[in-house]
Amino acid sequence: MVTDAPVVYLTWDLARPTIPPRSRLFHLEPLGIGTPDTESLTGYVARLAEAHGVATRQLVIHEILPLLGRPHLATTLDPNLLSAFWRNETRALNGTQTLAANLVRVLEHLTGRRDLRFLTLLPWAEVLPAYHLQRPSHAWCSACYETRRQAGQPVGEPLLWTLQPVTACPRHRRRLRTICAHPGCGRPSPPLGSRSRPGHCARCRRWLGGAQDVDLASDEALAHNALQAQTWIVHAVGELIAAAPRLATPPRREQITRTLAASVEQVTGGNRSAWARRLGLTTGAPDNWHPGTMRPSLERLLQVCCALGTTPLRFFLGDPGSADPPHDGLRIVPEGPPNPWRLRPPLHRLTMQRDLEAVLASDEQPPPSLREVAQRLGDTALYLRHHLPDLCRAISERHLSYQRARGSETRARVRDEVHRATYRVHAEGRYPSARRVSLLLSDPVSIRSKPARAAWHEALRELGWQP
Amino acid sequence: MQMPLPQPPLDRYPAELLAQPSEARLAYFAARVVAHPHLAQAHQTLLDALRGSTEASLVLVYGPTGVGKTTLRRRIEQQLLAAALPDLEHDPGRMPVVALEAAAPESGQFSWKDYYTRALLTLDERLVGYGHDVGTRGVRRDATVHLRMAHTAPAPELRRALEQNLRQRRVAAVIVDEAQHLRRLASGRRLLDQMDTLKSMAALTGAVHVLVGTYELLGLADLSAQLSRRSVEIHFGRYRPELAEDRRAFKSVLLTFQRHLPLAREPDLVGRWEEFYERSVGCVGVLKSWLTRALAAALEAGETTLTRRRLERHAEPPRKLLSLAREIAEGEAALANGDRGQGELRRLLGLATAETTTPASGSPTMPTARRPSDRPGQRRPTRDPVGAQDPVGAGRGEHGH
Repeated sequence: MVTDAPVVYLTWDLARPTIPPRSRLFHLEPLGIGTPDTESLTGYVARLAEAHGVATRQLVIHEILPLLGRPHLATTLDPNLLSAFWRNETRALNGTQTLAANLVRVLEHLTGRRDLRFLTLLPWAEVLPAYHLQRPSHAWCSACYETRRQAGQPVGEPLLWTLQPVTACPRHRRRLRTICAHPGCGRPSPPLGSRSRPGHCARCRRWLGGAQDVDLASDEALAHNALQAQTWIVHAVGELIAAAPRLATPPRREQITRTLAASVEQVTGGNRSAWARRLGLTTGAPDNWHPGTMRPSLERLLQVCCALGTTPLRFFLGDPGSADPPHDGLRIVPEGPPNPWRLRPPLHRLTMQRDLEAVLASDEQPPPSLREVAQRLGDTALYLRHHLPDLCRAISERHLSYQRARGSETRARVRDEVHRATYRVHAEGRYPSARRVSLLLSDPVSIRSKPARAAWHEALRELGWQP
Repeated sequence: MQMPLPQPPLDRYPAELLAQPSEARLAYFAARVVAHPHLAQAHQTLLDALRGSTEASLVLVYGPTGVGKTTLRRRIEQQLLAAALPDLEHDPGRMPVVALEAAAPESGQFSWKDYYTRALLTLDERLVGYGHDVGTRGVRRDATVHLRMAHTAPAPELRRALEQNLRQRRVAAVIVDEAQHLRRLASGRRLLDQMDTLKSMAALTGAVHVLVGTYELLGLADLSAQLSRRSVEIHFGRYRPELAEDRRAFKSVLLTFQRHLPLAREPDLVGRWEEFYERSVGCVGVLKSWLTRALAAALEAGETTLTRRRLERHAEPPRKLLSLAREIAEGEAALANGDRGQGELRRLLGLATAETTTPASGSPTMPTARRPSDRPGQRRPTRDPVGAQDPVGAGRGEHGH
């Protein structure tokens, strides 16, 4: 039974609770952290742009470059600066250096995430040298793209594919592609481009995935040995990438020296040259590595670890492998043709002298420079000058005096042109401004040159425009 | 759910308030929100719907103007934010609730483009506005990074941008105030499209859409079977003087306000509850703004209590109240009509209809549509005996008996 006597109700306080500041961009979760398939930071940027529904270019120009302290790349009138950024610098964004660290800082600030450094090689910055670490262009496995898309999973760009030693996808037994296969495109892309989208060509914007069971092009098929080597490399590097978030402290450079010393002691009783020969390295390599000033490149490290029966991760953590590794004949050898020493043909001073004299004797117009002559003879100017200094000097002198004569001719012509043009504008009853004069010149830009300015001022004085 | 702040239960204003300047005293009273039974009940039902105890993707909250719907919205917003606080610590990108107001269309047609634009601005999506190849055409930022929407921005693109944002920001609820403007349309068929648009957006983004508005929202959820299955309706009504419970609640609201009026001498509002009922048509929001206006004037004039004359002077004019009352009567009648559907349901299902349904008890029924046989000049027989009855059917009606 309700009594009729009124009561005092509670009152509510409608003040909103103080909430932490919201991140400027979406708090997009990175793919595969803690697994070998961790996505790369450049891939994350492209996915972030896609999630916001804008082109990668817009995200980078408006949000990232200003915070990277480089807004001028986009604001300057010169489009080449931004092109050069995409082409030359984006490869470093996944790496071990300042640019990667700065991008991680900027993106963590924008998205509120705290784990983006694992999308780069920054955790290994102390032990991995930048040399030969990452490939300059985007590489991908079309079957991986297709599988993920068909499974409805988000498509990412694994960090693994950005590493130079990784050249194949063992899962689909094929080489990574670096050239877009679409007709009419056929171009490589930078790791991050203005039109980058995960799984798409940054040039023609078309989907890069392909069927798994399609017959592989001859350049994609993988020989048995190469497949075996790549399987090992992908496993070893993947282990490194997957381990990054679990490291209590990043490995130090001194660790390489310690593990190396332990291995040399174990394998050849302390003899570094013998150790190097046994592993197929130049004998100087361990001497360079030992003081810690130089670090083995990832490629070399993989070669050493494979031969010792360890992996880069275990090597960094202090495991030198075994003296007699139980490997089944697997060897990692650097891919591509070896870089041979260039052999210099034996010196034929007389022939060379005859050739130079012939050049001097000819009345070739314009007289060639020494560099040009050296190129014709298949040698360098430095080499020629070292062996036949007098003849070379004569050739250079002749070329120089010709150049000087051409120069004064040009200056005289420009002066004359400017003089006449100034008088012509004056005759039209207008002030002969530099711009009006320049429009009458055969090369309008030449008005900026010193002799042209001098001739212009002189004409202005003659005409009474200047005191 | 975490309550915002443990507040000591105040049953009257703190004594030290009297020493403070009049602005502070007025601000104190203006900030009092009385948790009266209708508000508390609507709040609880809405909270349950949002917590996912029902599978609703659309919630319609309707009630008369000035009943406290916006207060309800603010309370829900506050509670959703408080509940999401621990989550916000590790996901700073999240925005648990988005509240916006549907704008009245100037052309007589509700504009989705305007709606999407407002929603995007509320979300203040930073990157909307840059670029246009995979993004939103016609939307850009000016030099001061304020969002500018071109008139040519196509609605589908804006909608895609909004959906993407709701999903990425993990918005749990979108609260649309003044949602009756959605009804401003030429045809009924378009109205269904309207509701389907909202429902599909809610389903695609996982954000429950709460439409808060007047009785014009009635029937929106019944446009299609699917729509009504995925929606919850919450009636937030006025207090009705003919019900003893409501009468007591209204008096209690008055008592609460009376206790919190920071004046040296407490006025007796409860004793004159019928006057207050009449001039607020039973809506707490109307009552509150009336009291606030009167208090402001009294404080300005340095008075120590609210006099009858002061209250009289600041009450809403009768013509305003009349139109309010008509709106309420129409709304409640429409609501009662809706409740009568049970008989038809039984008939459709082939069940025996035991008794012919009678109009809901005590609800003042107002004819909402004219019968085609009505002729101009011909008086309707039901109107004749009414004479002195107030359209609200209460206050003075009861007084007259």
